[in-house]
Amino acid sequence: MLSFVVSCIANLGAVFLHKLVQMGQALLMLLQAIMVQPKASSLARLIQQLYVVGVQSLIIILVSALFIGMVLGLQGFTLLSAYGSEQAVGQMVALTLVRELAPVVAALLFAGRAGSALTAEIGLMKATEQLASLEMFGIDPLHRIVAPRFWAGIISLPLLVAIFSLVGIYGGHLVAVEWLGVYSGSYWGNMQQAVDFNEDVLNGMLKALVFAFLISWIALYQGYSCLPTSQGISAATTRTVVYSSLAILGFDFILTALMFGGAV
Amino acid sequence: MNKRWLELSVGAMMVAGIAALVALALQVSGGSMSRNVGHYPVSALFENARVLAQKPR
Repeated sequence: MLSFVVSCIANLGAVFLHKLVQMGQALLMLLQAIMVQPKASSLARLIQQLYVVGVQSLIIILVSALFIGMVLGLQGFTLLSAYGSEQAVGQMVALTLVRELAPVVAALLFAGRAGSALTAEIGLMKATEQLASLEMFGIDPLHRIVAPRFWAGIISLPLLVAIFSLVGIYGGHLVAVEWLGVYSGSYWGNMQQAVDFNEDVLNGMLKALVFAFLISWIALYQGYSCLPTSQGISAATTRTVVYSSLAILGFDFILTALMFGGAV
Repeated sequence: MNKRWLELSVGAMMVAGIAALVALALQVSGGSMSRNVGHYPVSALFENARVLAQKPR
């Protein structure tokens, strides 16, 4: 019985140490990739990755934002009209989107759309020995492959979150004002009274920046360290989505507590 | 892919993102950089504005 308990504790310690080593490797990979002086040729690769990561995620972001804003407008109107406060639907839609839903939902969509693609692409490069070939030519794959993808993620997600917020607010306007008859002046006026640029909008952007860092880091490390087989790439892609989603939700709570926890 | 199209689409996304941020600053938050503490906005709807006086009692 005692040996079983000791064995369980030892296994737990081994798992913890393994995860710690993985985190150290991921941190080293990231530092080696981004601690380099950019060259003129890096810009072309960055633009290419901004297209893949950012522009190609625009459609899903726009459509999701519009429908989420419309649902918020509808739900908000139904809920608030029970208290005779349907004129406050604008501030409810805006604060919900700018503070919480836009950063979190856009980041989850970004992890599913762009994060998984990054992992699969780098994993396939590893499986087909393209990364090893680059090293043979004396080119560091971390600088050439990982760095532009990382910076593209960092730049893209905050922009996508800003677009998400604005489109969602207009989606709410479409339902609340155009369909349900809320006075347009109240919609925008109450919103402008309630939303503060520093406290709400910039904090939402800060969340987006943290989520972009987490998603890009997780996706690139999973691709770079995956087993070079079809099953290995598949498992790494799944891990990227799962780990990114959990990291987004966990860090969202921590950031919300830090930013808005004492404001009640 | 055409390099010009690539650059154009990325540039358009950057402009759209920055424009959205500016719109959030100006239209959604009303250009306010700090919350109005201690003030309470009052709104009222009037069926007839003819009876409104400048200094009502």
